[in-house]
Amino acid sequence: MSVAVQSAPGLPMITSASGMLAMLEEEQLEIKAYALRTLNAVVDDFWAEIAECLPEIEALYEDEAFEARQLAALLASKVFFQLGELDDALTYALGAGALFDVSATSSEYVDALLAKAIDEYCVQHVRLTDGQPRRAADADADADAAAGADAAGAAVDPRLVALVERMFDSCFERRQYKQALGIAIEARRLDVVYRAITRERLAAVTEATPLADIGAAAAAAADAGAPIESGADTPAMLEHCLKACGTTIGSREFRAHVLRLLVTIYHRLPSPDYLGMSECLGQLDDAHTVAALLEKLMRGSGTEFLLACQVAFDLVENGTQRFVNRVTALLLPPPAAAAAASGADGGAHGFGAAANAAAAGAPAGADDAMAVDAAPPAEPAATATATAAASSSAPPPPATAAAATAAAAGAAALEPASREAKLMKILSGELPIALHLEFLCRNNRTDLAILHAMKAAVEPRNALCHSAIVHAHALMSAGTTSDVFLRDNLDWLARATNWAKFSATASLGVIHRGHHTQAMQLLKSYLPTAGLSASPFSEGGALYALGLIHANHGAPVRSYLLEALRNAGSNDVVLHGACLALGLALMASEDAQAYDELKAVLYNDSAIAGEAAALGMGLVMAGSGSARACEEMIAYAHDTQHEKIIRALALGVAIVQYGREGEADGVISSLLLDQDDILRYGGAYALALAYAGTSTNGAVRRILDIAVSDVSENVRRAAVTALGFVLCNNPAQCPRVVELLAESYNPHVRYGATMAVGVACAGTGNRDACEMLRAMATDSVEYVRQGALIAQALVLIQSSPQGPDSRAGQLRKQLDKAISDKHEDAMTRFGAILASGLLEAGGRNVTIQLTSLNGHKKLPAIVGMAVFTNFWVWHPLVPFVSLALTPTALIGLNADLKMPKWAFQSNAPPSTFAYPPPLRPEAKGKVALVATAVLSTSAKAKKAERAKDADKKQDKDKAEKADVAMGEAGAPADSDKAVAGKKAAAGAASSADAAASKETRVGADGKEREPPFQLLHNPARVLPQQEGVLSVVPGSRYTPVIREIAPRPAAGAAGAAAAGAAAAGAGGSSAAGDKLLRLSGFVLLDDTTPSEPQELLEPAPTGGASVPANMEEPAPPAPFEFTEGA
Amino acid sequence: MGATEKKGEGKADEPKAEDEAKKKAEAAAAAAAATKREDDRLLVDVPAQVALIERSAATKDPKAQNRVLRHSSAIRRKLTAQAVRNAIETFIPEGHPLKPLLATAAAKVPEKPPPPAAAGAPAAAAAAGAEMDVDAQAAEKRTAVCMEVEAYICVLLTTLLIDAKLLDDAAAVSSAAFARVQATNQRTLDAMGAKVYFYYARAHELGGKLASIRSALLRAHRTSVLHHNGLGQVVLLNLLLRNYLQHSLYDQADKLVAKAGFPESAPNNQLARYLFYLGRIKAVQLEYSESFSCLLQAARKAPQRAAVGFRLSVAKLTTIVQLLMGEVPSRSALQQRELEKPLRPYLQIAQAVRIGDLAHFKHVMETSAALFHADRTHTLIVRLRQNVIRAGLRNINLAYTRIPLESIWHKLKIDRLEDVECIVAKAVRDGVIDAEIDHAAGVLISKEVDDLYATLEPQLAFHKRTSFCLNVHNDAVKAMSFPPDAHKGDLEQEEAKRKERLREEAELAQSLAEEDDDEF
Repeated sequence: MSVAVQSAPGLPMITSASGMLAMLEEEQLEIKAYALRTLNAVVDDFWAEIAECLPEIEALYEDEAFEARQLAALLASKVFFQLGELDDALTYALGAGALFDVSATSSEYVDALLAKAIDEYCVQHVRLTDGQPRRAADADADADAAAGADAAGAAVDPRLVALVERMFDSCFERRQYKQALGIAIEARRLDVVYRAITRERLAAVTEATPLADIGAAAAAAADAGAPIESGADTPAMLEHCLKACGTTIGSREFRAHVLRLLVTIYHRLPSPDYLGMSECLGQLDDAHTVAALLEKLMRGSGTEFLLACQVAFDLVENGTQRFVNRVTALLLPPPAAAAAASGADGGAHGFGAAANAAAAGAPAGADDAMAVDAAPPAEPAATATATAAASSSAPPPPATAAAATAAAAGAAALEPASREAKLMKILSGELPIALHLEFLCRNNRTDLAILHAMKAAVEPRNALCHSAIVHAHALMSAGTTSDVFLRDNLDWLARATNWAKFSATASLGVIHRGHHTQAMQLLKSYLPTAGLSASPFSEGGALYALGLIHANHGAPVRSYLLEALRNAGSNDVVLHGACLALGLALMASEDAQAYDELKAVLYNDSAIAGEAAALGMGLVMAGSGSARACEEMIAYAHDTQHEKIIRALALGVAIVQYGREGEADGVISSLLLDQDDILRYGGAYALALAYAGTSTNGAVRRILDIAVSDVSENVRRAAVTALGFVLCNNPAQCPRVVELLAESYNPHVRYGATMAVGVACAGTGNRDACEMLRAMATDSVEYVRQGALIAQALVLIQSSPQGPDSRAGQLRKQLDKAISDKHEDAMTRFGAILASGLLEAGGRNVTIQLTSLNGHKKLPAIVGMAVFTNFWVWHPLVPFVSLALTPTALIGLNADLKMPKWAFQSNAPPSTFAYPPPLRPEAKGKVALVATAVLSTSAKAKKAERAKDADKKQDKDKAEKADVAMGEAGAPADSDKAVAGKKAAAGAASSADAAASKETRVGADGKEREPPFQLLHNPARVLPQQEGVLSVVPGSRYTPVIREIAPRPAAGAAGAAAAGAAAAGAGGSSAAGDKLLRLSGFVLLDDTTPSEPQELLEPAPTGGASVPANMEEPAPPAPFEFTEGA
Repeated sequence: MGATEKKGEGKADEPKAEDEAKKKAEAAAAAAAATKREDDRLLVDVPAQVALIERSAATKDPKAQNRVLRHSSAIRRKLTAQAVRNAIETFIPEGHPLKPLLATAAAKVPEKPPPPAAAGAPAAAAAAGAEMDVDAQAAEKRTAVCMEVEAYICVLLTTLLIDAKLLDDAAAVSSAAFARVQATNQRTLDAMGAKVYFYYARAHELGGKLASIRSALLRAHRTSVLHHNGLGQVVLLNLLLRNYLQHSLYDQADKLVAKAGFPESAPNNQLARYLFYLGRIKAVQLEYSESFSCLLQAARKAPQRAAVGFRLSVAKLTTIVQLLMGEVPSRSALQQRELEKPLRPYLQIAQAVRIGDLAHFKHVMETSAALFHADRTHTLIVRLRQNVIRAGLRNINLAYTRIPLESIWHKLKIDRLEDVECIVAKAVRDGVIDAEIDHAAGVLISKEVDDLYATLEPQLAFHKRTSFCLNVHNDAVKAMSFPPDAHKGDLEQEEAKRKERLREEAELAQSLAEEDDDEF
């Protein structure tokens, strides 16, 4: 045996470690130490044998007097590792001290234990940081003591800390910054996050420093430090970190710390990323810094001003009304506001929105109901000033370059004021809404044939289906201001009585959504007027419609609505409408006065008015998490006898808790533990909204628990629906999570599953979701079929492709069948009609998005959706879904915030993202001009025609509107125009000719070929799926302001380059052009040649009462002759 | 362990799978015909196999890979050196670390003469080879190779080298592949990796270098555990046990088994093998009943028609262990169809033990010693001598109420008279015979035999069998699994069902209404 021992380390031929193990029993310590050494060398081969003697080895480690006790620990650790007990292995490895060599050549033992150590450290350190705020916040003596004890107990093992610190250091040495950042975020080490991004260590910060102190230290370092050198990949790290904030950080509090840190770092960049910064600040609810930021940008150079506008657009899109209002107030102190109002004349022109002038002053608190009336007469005047006065930074079209410089010099004095006014126009929501309205009117593709077909299919006496068609129509024309169908069918419409009348009137609000300027005029005949009493239902409905028009931008109608509420007296129906309208208009504004007035209505304890008042209270305080509001509402819910009021209050509380995540846990628990099932129902919704778009595991688990264990069907249905909201940032996950629930025996749970999938996968066209819902559409229970149809419409809205054979096409057929089937249940038919409305919503130009581009949750959309799902109990809530509708638009704006003529490229065949074909083209002769595939030969014919009058530069506006897809013929033609000013037309035309003839050769095979790309003209419909294939047409005059600024060639060279690139593009290469960074919504454009006259788009007329159906159809494309091979 | 046994073990998993494939083929004839055609093509076409493996790796779907692996024994029979050389040339890119090694090793393999059975079609084979050449040239050379394909080509080459008795090259190639597989952490490689591990050990075993790879196997086993590679873990554990047992390191093997867990999800073939090794370890360590249950399980989990070698080894060991337990194996167990002839010496041993004929026992021991040594059952059979004597004693005990010890000495032909008393005393104490010794007179006095049916014995035996049957039933139920989504019918079907349901409801309502009418 001794021979074996001596040869142990070198030779692998020993067959047993028992000899060495026997030496552990010896008396002499030296022999024991020797045994440990030899065992340590062979532990990989004989661990199973050594494991028998673990107790002795452990005892040796615990013997303080034993010299080689660390060796014993190492041996024990290795054996435990082999046994798969990593916890024990880690404990002993830490005990081994320096013998546990992290930097040794990587072995599985070291790797596995390091991973374990990091996991362990993360858990312990998170517990530590969670303890901190509790200790600081709790004033209670006993709670304090308990928390203190807790924190003391949770102090992280210093050996573990040292180990992890060593890990971080080695990460930095090896330049693995992302890994370090990931671990730091997991472990909530703010100082290491800072270090990973900036490569600088924070002085005087230790592992146990509270997070707030670290943030302060970082800020101090930022003040002292120089800007970070641009060589580092800090921007990329910042972006990475920002993404991680949205996806991986579960704790709201820690996220706030990280965001604040990010803002500090953003400030130090040589070229700060203002969009990123404002995004962080928006999440932090820090209006002061945002205002300062905007202020700074506004005073900066031209590009910086464009950035300011872009930031403002983002704010309006993502922020709550209250936040934007606060920014506006900070940005515009009262005297300046007045100045802006007076100076706004210069800034406000175009778009027929002369009311902008007044609206600019509106956020500052001016009472503006009158401004609306003033609007129409001001219109021509504004256009006149626009041409006459050179008050804007860009000269009007006929001005020469010299005049432009003079004008620019003259404008310098007026500049700040006009800039402020422009910014105000954006921040007030005025401009974004007007532009969206413009887009929707311009591109309206509502197929009225569908409505006519539905109307014909449904028997006239069926009130349910009748009101469903009214709702469907409202959704189809949402925001398009085209109410032709209603005007044409007044008799039919008159069948709506009582609440149906209420809904029908309210549907006007959906149709004219965002039509602020003429809202009052449109609804004048329905709104309550003193002395004259029409039907209370139409009065209430009209108020509700007013709220829908001004949803989330309520400043213009605030006082009017409050007045209406006071005047309504005891008329429940009018009160109902007024309360809903107030809630909608002042959504998330935390307006105390409105809240109190609504509360007064609630305390009257009338079921109908109280219901709306409760919902309104929730909407006004949405997302505030206000403890007072919640207490009052829950207390009253316990007092009142009316189920309607209790339900609305529960929902209201849920809305108040929107996005509060962990903070809402107390309220949610109290609701979920309530005896009243209606309040538990609210609890489920509170979970949905508080954790909406977070995919938090804890919330999902809790919801699933309720979904399978609650005794009330309503609560279970609500809980399953809630899953959709929680998972809405992760659509692919939802179908898998609800898969089993969709097969539940309980139809309510199945219904909930349809809604969950519909909400989570809205607008994605997700395949799994579609398949699941399609199967559910044949369910045995009528309302499950209803849910499945509606959910399918939600999922497939604006998905591509939309052709008759696509999933959307199949759904259309299915809906058609369900609607016209007389034996189908009324509930299902109701769902089918609603689904048709949703599928074609907004003139086929809107989609449903609950989160913004960057993954931020949109409050109005999510809350609107949540209220919409309550149409189960109250059909007039259906219009709430319009809050979730987002135009699928890409709108380019120049420095004057006007839409110039600009085109960009979509590198996909036009048919991929085309509108669905019209139902019956011959029925009304109204052909929705679908993107037609252009024959290459005909393209050539067109090309020849166009080349002839390229120099004439005639107004081709209408023609352009018609040919959405000009394909390759369009590309050169367009670049012709761009280059014409540069006297390079001849070259471009010849190259385009070459490209076209090349294309003809390909086309001569006799096959109809679709062009591989298409040009889209500002403002364009861009589907979410299309965003990946967009690019800027090379050499175009305008470039988006948010993009990597690449060195541009000089102007002369640009023309030639553009011609070449255009030729390449026409030749079929889709790689040409820069990638667009901002792919939908508003894009601020930088003008590369500001001295030249700009071509602007004419405003499109809006529909409605004041403009009686005079919407002209775009002219069909000019006839052409098909000459083969010519 | 005998050569037959090794061979049997080597194939234990493939034939089983083939077997399954056969069953399936019976179920669906048409589909089977199509599969068969494709399988035939697979057998000669290495690029086709590679394509399957690549697809499987890309889609993370193990099915296609398993199909290739299932045919590996058939492929091995038909494999030509040229095909492997072509595969290496085509699929392993230039500059790959293994390329020179593989190419030189493959070049050493002589081309097999056409098998006599296929003598009629040498032209066809040549044509196939030529065609393959064309294929290889036509297929453009790959610039990258996925780990699965690389492992597969190494396995092919290793089997080729083993068949050509180029064991050193086989060991070198398999070692290189082993190192690469072990360094890769991807789950699609598990199945192919397990094959690499197996042939690594196989090549070294045939080359007599088993001891040298023990550490490597242990390390690979640890890696598999850390990577949650269940299949690799099982295969490596079996290889390790085999390695230890080959060197009679029963103690080490036992400790490894005790400390290293066996994953539940292991495939049946590996489980059968594991149980067999376990049975051997337990048998050596005198835990016969545990050993017996392990071996019984092993026999049951093993493929029922194929893997003759494995079943033979199990049957041999089972026989001995059962004899050691004091039971007599059933004659039918020793006379199974293909096993009867090789099992004959064991049958003779069993007969000797049953009747307690020490002379016969000695005779068989001497004549078949070489076989027993080869089977590694010799040490266990030596232990049986005691049982022979006991069986003899029991017979004497039944026949005589009183018998002098000296007569026993004569009858049983025990070496020394002094030993007789000790042996008898031990037998009495162990409960083998119910008797007592009269020391003074030197006689053995038997007691009255009780009525066995008056005791609990039959009941216990019955209970044992009942619980066994129940266990089998439970296992069968547990092993059943439903295909996912089987309960979801076609949409059309659902629609039809709904219509049907509605119609029934309507009828029911109508009939109820009519009943109501009738009442009034």
